[in-house]
Amino acid sequence: MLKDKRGIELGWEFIFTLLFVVAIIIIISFWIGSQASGSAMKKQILAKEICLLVTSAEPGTTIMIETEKKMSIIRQNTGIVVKESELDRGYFYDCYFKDNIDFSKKDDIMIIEIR
Amino acid sequence: MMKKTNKKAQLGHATTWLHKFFILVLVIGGIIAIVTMHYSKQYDVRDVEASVVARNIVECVAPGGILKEFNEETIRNCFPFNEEEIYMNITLENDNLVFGNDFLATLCKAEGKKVKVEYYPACLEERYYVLENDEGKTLNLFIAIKKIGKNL
Repeated sequence: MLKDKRGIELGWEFIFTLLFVVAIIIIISFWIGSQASGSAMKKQILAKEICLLVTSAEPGTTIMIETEKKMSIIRQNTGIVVKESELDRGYFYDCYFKDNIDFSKKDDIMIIEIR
Repeated sequence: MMKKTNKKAQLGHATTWLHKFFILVLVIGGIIAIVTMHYSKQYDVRDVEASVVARNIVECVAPGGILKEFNEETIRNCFPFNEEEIYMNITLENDNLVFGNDFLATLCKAEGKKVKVEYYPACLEERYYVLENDEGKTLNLFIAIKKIGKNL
């Protein structure tokens, strides 16, 4: 009886360790996958390019950018954030945006107006 | 006696778990560090950014090349900037305006003298000709941008 109890204990311990390790492997695989897919670089380049484009644009300019459906480009104070989804923290780049810049989205098209 | 042995066994068991946990943290930490180092390459846009800033300053001070106003308030109203991340030295003949982090100018000078600086700012020096009452004047701009974390 005592031996059975110890065996069950060891069994549970093994299952717990296995689940823990498998969960970590899955999380790390997803994370490496997202890094290797270039999404982080894509967000960075997009944020910086838009930042320079908007900062150097003349007043009265409207910039329209076709983006992926889930991607969002948001103004945050004087900078810009490019997010891949709602859960994504996004990539932030500080620009020199004044109050004359409006961001809006229509379907898959991002509209940036410089008044 | 039995209880004492159990206590020792429990302590030994806990120690092996701690050891396993430490190795796991070390391995995961290593993987994260390697992947982050490999994939988090930065795209340096500070040189272009400095040119854009210079052009914006000229457009504020002298729209269309004709001098309007040259004072601190005009530059501050021109565009919002983070004083820690930028240094601007604007000279119009004998008038001089300085904004931002002075240390960036020192780093730019050091870089110009071939001093090895690991994290250097982007430095730009430009000269423009503007008109004031039909008289030509020289507008000198020196701009340094830090933004190291996002560009290097």
